[in-house]
Amino acid sequence: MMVKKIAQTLTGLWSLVVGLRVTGKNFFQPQITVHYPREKVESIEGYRGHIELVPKDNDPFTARCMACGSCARVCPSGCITLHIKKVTEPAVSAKKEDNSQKPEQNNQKAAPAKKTKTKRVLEAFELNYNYCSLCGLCVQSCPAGGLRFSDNVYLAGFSRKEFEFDLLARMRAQKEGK
Amino acid sequence: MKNFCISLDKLIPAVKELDNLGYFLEDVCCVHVKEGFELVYHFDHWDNPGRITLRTLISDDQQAETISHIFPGADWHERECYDFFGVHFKGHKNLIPLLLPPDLNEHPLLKNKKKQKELSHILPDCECVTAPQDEEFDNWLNTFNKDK
Amino acid sequence: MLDFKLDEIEQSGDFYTRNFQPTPEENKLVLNMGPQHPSTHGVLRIILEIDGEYILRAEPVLGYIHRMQEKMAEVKTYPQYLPNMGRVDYLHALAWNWAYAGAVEKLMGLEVPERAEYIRVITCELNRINSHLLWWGAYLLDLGAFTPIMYAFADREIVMDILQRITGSRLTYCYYRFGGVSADIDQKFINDTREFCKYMRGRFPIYKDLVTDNIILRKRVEDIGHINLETCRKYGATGPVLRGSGKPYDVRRAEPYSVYDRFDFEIPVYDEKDALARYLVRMDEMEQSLRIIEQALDSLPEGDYIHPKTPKNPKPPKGEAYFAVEGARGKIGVYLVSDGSKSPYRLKLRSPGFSNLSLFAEIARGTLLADAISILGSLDLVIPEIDR
Repeated sequence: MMVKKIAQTLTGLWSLVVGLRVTGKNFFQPQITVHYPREKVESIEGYRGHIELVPKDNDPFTARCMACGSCARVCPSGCITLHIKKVTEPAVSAKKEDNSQKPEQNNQKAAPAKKTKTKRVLEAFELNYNYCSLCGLCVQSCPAGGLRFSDNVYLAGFSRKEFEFDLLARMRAQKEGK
Repeated sequence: MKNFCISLDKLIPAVKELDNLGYFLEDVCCVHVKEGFELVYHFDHWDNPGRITLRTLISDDQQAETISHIFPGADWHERECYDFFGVHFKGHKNLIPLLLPPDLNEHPLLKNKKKQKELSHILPDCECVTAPQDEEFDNWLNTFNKDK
Repeated sequence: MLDFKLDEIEQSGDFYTRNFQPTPEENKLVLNMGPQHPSTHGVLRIILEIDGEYILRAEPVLGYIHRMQEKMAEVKTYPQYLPNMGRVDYLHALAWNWAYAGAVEKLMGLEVPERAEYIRVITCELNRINSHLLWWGAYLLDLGAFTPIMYAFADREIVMDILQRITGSRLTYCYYRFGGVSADIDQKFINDTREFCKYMRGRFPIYKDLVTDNIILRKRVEDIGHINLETCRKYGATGPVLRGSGKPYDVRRAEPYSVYDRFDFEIPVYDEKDALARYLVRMDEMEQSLRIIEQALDSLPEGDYIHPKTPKNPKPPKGEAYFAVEGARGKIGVYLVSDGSKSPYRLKLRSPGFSNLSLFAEIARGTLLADAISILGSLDLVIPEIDR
């Protein structure tokens, strides 16, 4: 009985030594933490920041967005507000773009309406990042591929106002900056 | 997957039978419909898996029967139903709010008249809930015991 | 001199304290543990009636982080509810993702491409390892050992980096979609994961040396918090709690969902029924998860990562569906009732922690207060999941 007790105590003590050996080994390993303001992490690949608009390939100042509003509808938190201007263009301007479409329109619509065409133009793309949960449903739902995630990991601010963006203005400002 | 619609007074004996057979309680769930509250009890078994669903219908002002004396785990599930729907469970020893604050006199999952749907709108084969078929459960029980 | 009246003290306490003990007894102390106690992992409160250091009665009080997830489901459309699932259980978010997506798919009869199933298995198991690692660190923190959580976090970091590249988030994943996943995996992901599996295998012996064999830990967990099988059954306990009591019940085996029936893995079981058994179950489970991941990587098929004909605004037909998956804490169930409209008529979330915690009152009776902490930790509680 006594012998057993002593043996147990000894194995118990030995287990502490074994543990300390692990600690000791790690003590001499290189540091794996990063001291943030002085150093920065490099592996931020795949980071999903807030969404941003994708510009058109041929015109960096116009967004691919066609103002359909499907992102605003699918958003679980209602962060996205689109400000859309409806521009009524006389059909004359459309004529030079596409002539083949004209006869079709003639058949379908009543006489006076055929002369004009309403176009939805994006004026501002308002994102309230405070309520965004970064689920990515808006990016997926966009039929034009007009949204993507930004990669600014170090975004920080002092007030909520700073996280209400107009993404259209942001996209243009970025392009001008470059 | 077995589905039994039973009347309220048959519930306690049925749950007792399941307890004897070694089933465990997965959850107790409540659905608010036009006819009242549909209580859904999910059971499962460790050794021969297959969910048993017991359902029973109570009217809006009727009280349900507690099963917490058979399955103590139902205690919290029933308190949750009381929280969300205001369903009273007769015989429950500690029916106080569980998840919602005690001074809240609302039951958030109750649907207003406009949103309530009839059972036939949510369950394709709902006749059995409105007209419980207790024999079905007994028959199943007999065959189950025979197989053993 | 005391400057308050005695009957004022008797009147003190909130609704739950008064309900717990209307009249104080002599030589008994009613103690509120939490809701801001470090070992309650956030906001769990337990009212204890103690005699000296022994617990006579315990009653958990929930709801401090209740968010009414079930109501939220009824006012959102099906896809809009997806991000909620990552917040129900932030440690094993992907299992909840899966349970919800699975329930909707089951009701709609939507087929998931094989590649997507494999991706789901791989990511879900990686997430399970992460969850167990955090539990491991936090449990030892509860027991007074500070260093292990640093080791756990260093390893967690690798998994989080791997998952971040694919899912875009590090904790509250919203990765699974109806009919698949939101993004495909690439070669780098596969290489990183393989490397991680190798690395992690080398870490288990270190964990064993550092913690599992440690005499101080053993004294805190051995023979503490016995849960017998009957209690587990009566309370509906699942997951490592049940497997630590000697029942090899695992949803991945019992009702195989997805492609789990194709993998060869064991279900760790310990018969001791104490906190140590639950500890060892989780440690072994991590190894089994690695096995599953490696097998899934070996047999990863080509193809779509999401069903090409997934409707954007799904409207499942009338009816109901129950889908259960094995989470890190046990059986996660989602019961969905649809009336054919674009949002669920009723959604019930069955969280394993809820059932596991409900048996605490019974097993804590008669134990030392310090042991109660050990028992609580060994149940692996995630309060947001319990409160929903």
